[in-house]
Amino acid sequence: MSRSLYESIGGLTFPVPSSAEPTLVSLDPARDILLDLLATAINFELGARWTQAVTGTLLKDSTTPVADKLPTGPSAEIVKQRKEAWPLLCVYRAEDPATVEQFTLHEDRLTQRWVVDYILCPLDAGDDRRLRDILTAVAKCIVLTIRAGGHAAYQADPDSGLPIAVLGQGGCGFSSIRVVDFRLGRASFAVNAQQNAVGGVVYHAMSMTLETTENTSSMADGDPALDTLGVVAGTGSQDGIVKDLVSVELDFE
Amino acid sequence: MALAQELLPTFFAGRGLIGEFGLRPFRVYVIRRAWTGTHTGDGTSSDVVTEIVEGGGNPPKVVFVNEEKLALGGLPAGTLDVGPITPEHQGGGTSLALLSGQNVERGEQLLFRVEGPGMGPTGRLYALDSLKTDSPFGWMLRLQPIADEKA
Repeated sequence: MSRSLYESIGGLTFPVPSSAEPTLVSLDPARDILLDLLATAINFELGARWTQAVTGTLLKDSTTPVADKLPTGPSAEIVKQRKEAWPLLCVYRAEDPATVEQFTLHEDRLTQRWVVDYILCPLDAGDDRRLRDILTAVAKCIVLTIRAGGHAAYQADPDSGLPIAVLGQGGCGFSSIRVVDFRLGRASFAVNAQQNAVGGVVYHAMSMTLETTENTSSMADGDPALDTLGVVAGTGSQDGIVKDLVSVELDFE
Repeated sequence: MALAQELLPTFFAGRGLIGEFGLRPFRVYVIRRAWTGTHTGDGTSSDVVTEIVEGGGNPPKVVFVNEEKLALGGLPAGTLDVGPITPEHQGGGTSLALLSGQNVERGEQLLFRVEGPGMGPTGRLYALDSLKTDSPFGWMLRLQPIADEKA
């Protein structure tokens, strides 16, 4: 009879829980948790100032600094198919190679980079002056949120009001997470041969790189068929063990 | 009524007449796809499908963008130009809101399905690359393929 791996890595556990949902989204819970956490933190910390600042600008209909969330890369193909609201926050695993290395004798470690994109719509010169600093403010907000491991506006302890750490076990499943760098520039979908030239439509964006590690872990019930283990050690010949010197019996519950 | 508006029924009928002769082998549909879940692709989807037609219910003109334009524009192979599509008027036509996705809600998808020779048994999906509305007599769509043409 075939048995599952009975191991987990990050937020993914094998055997995979059965589900009737016609989607594989639950195989990577970290992405949606991280996206929702960062969006909530940004809207909470910067929402009041944003509402005041966008009055009379091209973004006047965006009531929050994160008006839309996208749990994948904002490629030109995706943006052309889907109706976006701006500003748009995207969180996704980077296309850079992820590395797997031996962490301990019993654990491997997966190290992978993520991308967080925060994108404004095209702005005129006046709106650019009034709103552009949101890009840096969002980056700093993300840095602090990740350092805290969570945000009270997303999930808070009911007694203390302190943020619940959702980036580790029980949430995203990360063993560690750090901000590598961020930069300001144009959204990737707005960069092509034509739009690199002067006069192209510019979607100002902040792009941040994160790095996470996810460790493997064996499941406690990884070998359910094993009830007892008997070990006999002694001297003997080709006919078998003559005398039991050591006898061990282990019961697994 | 402006002269351009008065001429739209003529353009509409004339473009449809070409289709009557079987010279328009492709049919084009606009799909507005909504999702019940939090993000696009979550939950279940529901499609509102509207065919783009000219006079007599005949399809519009569909042309494959030539290789030179594909290279200059950085466009993928299979990109189509659809039109001219007669604007909405008393006798018929197509609304700009339908083509541009003006009323599409956040997170919903605006897709185009093209059926015809080489488009597979159920048609091929496209996304809107550009919409040209500089002529009062007809609008032009440029559609970019989503699905693999071999699928």
